[in-house]
Amino acid sequence: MAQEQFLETERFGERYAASGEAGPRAVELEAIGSDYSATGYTTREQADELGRLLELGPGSVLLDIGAGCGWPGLYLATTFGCSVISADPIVEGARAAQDRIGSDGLESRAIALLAAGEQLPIRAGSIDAVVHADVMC
Amino acid sequence: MAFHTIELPAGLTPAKRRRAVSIGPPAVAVRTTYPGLLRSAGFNEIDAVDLTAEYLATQLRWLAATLRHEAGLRSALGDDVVEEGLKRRRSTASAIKEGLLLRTLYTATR
Repeated sequence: MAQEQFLETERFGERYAASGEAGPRAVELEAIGSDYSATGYTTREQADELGRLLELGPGSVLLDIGAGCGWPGLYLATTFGCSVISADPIVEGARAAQDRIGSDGLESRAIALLAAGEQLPIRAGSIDAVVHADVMC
Repeated sequence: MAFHTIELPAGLTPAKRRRAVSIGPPAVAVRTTYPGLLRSAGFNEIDAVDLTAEYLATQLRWLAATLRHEAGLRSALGDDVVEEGLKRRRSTASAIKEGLLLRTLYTATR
């Protein structure tokens, strides 16, 4: 299991490092309708449903665990107006998410953390909603 | 809390379970159920919605799009990454069709 997780981490790191490349972006758009270097199965429609289920809106704080380059947390912040903490343990993912925060103008209500879900530097009671997409799998 | 995850169906034979674990993402090997994990973490009002049909459709879209943009992907990611990705997505699609992998939306409150 540890070796598999290492290989998964390496695979995701390589993918995140290629974020912004035209080929991977076109595939992602066609497959799930996002452009955040996501590789999973949460479609744009499913992300919208997550936002509705969690009743996200201005003033609410969302934590996205295992967010990679920001899907779906940064998208939900843009769409629903909430604040978001985008956490991922892979350097390339957290760095790409921070870059995306800047390019999307979300600096006032989004932050990218380099952190794993089991060791988040977040105070208890400071989060309104938690989301993750195909992380624990 | 709301999250999507991939898991194994209950009641797989040992042989099917081994095959599912060999194809699915690493954490499908965990024997704890998600409702159990959520309850132990203090969540309640746990609800689950099966998204397996959408999971297969999405996997097939990934495959089709990958093949359509194969040249650009090979240039950006390298041949090994693209070939491994195609192999992984094909085997996962087969496993979903065989009923070995599920995708579920869980919601819970605390």
